[in-house]
Amino acid sequence: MLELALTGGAITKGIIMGLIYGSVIGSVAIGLTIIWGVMKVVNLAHGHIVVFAAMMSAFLYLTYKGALLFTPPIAFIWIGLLGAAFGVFFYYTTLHPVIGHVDTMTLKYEMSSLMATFGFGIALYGIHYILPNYVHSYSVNPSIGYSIGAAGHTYIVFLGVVIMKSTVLMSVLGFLLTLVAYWLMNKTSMGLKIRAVAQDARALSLVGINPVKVKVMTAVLATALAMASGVLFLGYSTSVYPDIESTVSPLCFVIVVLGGLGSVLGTYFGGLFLGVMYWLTLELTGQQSIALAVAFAILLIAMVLKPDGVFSGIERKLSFRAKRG
Amino acid sequence: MSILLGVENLVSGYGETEVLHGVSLKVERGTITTLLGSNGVGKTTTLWTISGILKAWSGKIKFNDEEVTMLPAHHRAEKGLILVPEGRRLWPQLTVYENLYLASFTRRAREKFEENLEKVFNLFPRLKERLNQQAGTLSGGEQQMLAIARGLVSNPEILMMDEPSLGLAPKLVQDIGRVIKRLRDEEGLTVLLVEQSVQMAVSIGDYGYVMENGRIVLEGAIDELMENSKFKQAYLGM
Repeated sequence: MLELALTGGAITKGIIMGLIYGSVIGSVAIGLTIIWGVMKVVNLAHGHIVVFAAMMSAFLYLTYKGALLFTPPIAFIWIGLLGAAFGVFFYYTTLHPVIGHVDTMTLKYEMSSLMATFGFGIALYGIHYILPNYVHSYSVNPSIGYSIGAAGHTYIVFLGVVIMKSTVLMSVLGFLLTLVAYWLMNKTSMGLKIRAVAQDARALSLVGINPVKVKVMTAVLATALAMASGVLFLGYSTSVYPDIESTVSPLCFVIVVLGGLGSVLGTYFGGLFLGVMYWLTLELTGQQSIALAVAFAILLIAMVLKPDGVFSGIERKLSFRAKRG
Repeated sequence: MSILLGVENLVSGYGETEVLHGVSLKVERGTITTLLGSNGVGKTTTLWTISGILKAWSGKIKFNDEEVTMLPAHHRAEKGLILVPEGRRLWPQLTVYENLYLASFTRRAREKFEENLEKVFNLFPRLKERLNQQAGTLSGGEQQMLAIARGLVSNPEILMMDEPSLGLAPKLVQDIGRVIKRLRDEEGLTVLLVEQSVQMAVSIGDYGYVMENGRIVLEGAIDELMENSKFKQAYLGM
């Protein structure tokens, strides 16, 4: 029997916890909005890459008994950089054969990219099970994210809501990661080339820019962001297992569609919105499955009402592009 | 006068289909050379092969006394061999400024970006007004101006233009023709022009090649061509 707990406290908690969760899951979706929204690669491997990074960092953290280097606030930087190298591998094994010499991404190539990345994702998923000391699930110390000079309490109380400090830290880092992605995509020449390559790759070669290089850069950026955010996801959730991909992936797709394909800030706000809806539902009904169902119901409504994305306008309003004369 | 671009016995095509069966042409520095012919004779294919978008099956392309036959397209653009493609091929969701800025990343273009930008605004004041507008929202004529402007910002040694007047009103066709002429007279720019408006092409061109079925069938200074009755009948209806 479903009982609704409609109290002020539940709503406050839903909103606060939702914003924290949304900031993390929003940053997890940024890599997807870049590779899918900008380069039109329907990257079904995105969730797998995120979870792979989370598994890897949990494994290292546990193996090295919580050494500083492997705590999320440090690890998300270097695992993100490692993700850049992994992105090169991802591009040349999976994407280059399909889209390497495509001028303009049409639906046909989007579908091919979907199949190719699906395969890559499955392969990556399989790796978890052949690791020498595979365990079904890694659980790490709840204070994992906050173990740098962690004096005092692991919890804070804000507006009567008990919040784990590490989750707050992860959400702040997720926000910073989003800002970095936004800056790279909108304020640098690299971002400009990435935005151009999906629209017309051949035109890039006509002005002296190697389009294949730009495609590699896109995959590198998207993969680096995916892996960095994977570490934050671990820091937030404190336990991770390969099958969590089946929750992460669909959520990322919902957030990207909600936020507006290719819009970094829109996607982040999409994450915040989804996080709040998820937590509010969870607080009011007490059931996770209903909370997830609500998230996808929101997607359906959003796709009918605003197929371009609900938050895509945010980026346009906030960004002032290079102005002259 | 020195030869800037020399093409010898160029053969190329798409997939298994051979389109060019040995095209030879030369472009002198500081002139406007036009490539004429009806639809489907291989004019665009010729420009695509020279610019490197299509691979040459055989033959030679010499640019600035250097063989470029095997270079990829972006390396040829770095050397100043610039194509303004048919259908403009702008980035529709980027702004006018971003479209121009992207053309300035090569070494030769970067140094002269500000200068070239001023030049381009001088030629097309309209673009300066629309700097922060998305390229896809421009009118057809403005888009063509932007395509040419992008070519000029690339700081070309030779500018190859493929049907710059396609789909434009007669007055705009004349404007485009005037701009190309100005570029030759004032900047000494070398131009290889493919144009379906033969009237415009012969009014500004110095030298002409006529193509049929993937081959050059007639060539000569424009004045000479204009005296050729067969040419006049076939292409100018006179």
